[in-house]
Amino acid sequence: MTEAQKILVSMTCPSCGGQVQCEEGEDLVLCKFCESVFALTTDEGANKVMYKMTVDKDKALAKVRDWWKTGPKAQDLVQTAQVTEAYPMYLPFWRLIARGKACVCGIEEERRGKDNQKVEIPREALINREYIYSEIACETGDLGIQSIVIPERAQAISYDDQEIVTFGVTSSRDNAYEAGGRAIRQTAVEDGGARMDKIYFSKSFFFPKAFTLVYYPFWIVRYSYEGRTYFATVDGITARVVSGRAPGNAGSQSTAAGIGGALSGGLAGFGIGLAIVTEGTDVGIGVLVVGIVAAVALLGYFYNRFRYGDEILEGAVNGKGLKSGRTQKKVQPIYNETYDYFK
Amino acid sequence: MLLKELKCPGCGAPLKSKERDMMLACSHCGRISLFADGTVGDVSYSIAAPAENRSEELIYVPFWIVNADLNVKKESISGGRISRFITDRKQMRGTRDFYVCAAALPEDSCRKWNMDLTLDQPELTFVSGFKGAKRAVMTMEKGIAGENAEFLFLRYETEIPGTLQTLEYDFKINSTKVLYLPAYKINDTYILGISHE
Repeated sequence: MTEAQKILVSMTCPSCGGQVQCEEGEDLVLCKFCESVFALTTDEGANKVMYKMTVDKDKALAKVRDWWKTGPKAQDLVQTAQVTEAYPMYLPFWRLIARGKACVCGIEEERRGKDNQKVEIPREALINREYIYSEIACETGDLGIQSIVIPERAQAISYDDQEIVTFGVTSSRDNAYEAGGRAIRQTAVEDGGARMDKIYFSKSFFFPKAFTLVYYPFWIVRYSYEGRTYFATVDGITARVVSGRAPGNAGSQSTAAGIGGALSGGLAGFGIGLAIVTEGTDVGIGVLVVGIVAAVALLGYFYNRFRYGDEILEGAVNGKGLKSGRTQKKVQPIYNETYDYFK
Repeated sequence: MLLKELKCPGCGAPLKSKERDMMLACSHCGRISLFADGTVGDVSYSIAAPAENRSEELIYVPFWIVNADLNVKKESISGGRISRFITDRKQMRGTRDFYVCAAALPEDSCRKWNMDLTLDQPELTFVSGFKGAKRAVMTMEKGIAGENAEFLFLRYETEIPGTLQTLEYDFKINSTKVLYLPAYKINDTYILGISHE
């Protein structure tokens, strides 16, 4: 992301009836026609905006079918699965834009020279960046959506609860604001200490620019497969599948068990064999150790695919299953107007 | 969401402005009031006199002057002691005015001004009015001036020679006031017009 996309909402000037543009985070509003000055006030202490759904039902369903074909999902999913319902839903999110500043001091550890001696290099960093925090503002059951990225060019409109189906806001404004500030400060410290192995001093601040309650559209698609029900959620503007549950591929599951067992056993055996052949020299033992470590890692990976492979989880869905895709982080940095300093 | 019309706290006339300035001047009685937390209120501000008459356009730039007690209890720095000694670097300690530029001007100018003025506090003479000169728009809220001042101190401690390792300090704010400093716009850069430079 190159720039914090500020949400714009149009309102009518109470003095002259002209159209005034209210920019996210600005509670001082001017009418460019009559030059009147207004304070923007809100009931909840945060502006409420919503985004228009631009993805229709057919497109959302097509995207879900495409998603069925990817990853180690049940192979006959596309042929067998039955969509039981698909409906639009607006989910509320708290969104905080703030400049995060941090001073972080510590050391970086480096190994140098022939004897691999540990050297401590003192480091200091200043972070001065803009960040966007977003967090779901309602109980969604287990939809697996915790955060959003608003796509560029998406048009915000003033919130109208007559028009849409939505979950009620359940988290408090103050808690969300505090959590957002904390997360941004923490991210600024992490960004500053990215190279440091030990942090001795850190101090962070956040300077809020905007705090908004955003209603963002999704398609919720529920479907059944072999008597069980699953779901997927589709972004109502970008059409991306953001979260969901899907049955796993039993074939790939058993293959995982087979390959995993064979490979890791082979590796361990090779290591032991080599250790015997080389009569316990350093090289032989070294290969043995590396072989066993690799074997354990492989076994772990394939075991995971076997053990949890009966269900595929997309997004931030909880529970047992094979995680797939990426989870949207709550804090994102914006890289313009960045004034960092590293030493 | 509702739009509430803002009125001059002095004469009650509706306020008019072409720019989103936190310091709003009443077109009726001339009084300047500060916009904060959804309302306008009284504000005291001072205006520094220009040190010289220049032909370029004069513009007054708003600063938050944060008067604070800074008490460094413990600090350790790795390296840089010799160059600190040779260059006779100033110490940012004790009670002083922290200059925090409150205008939406290029960050590079603001950073340099804030640091230079805070380290080397200018002797100012004051005037009573702007005498028709322009004011730069104030965009920074009063509430965040103090933490910006504190970050200025941390920036100084980091940017001077040596690498800061540990720091323990108290930063106590005594007052936060508005000060307008005269500046001249030359091409796209701003030069402060006080005797300090």
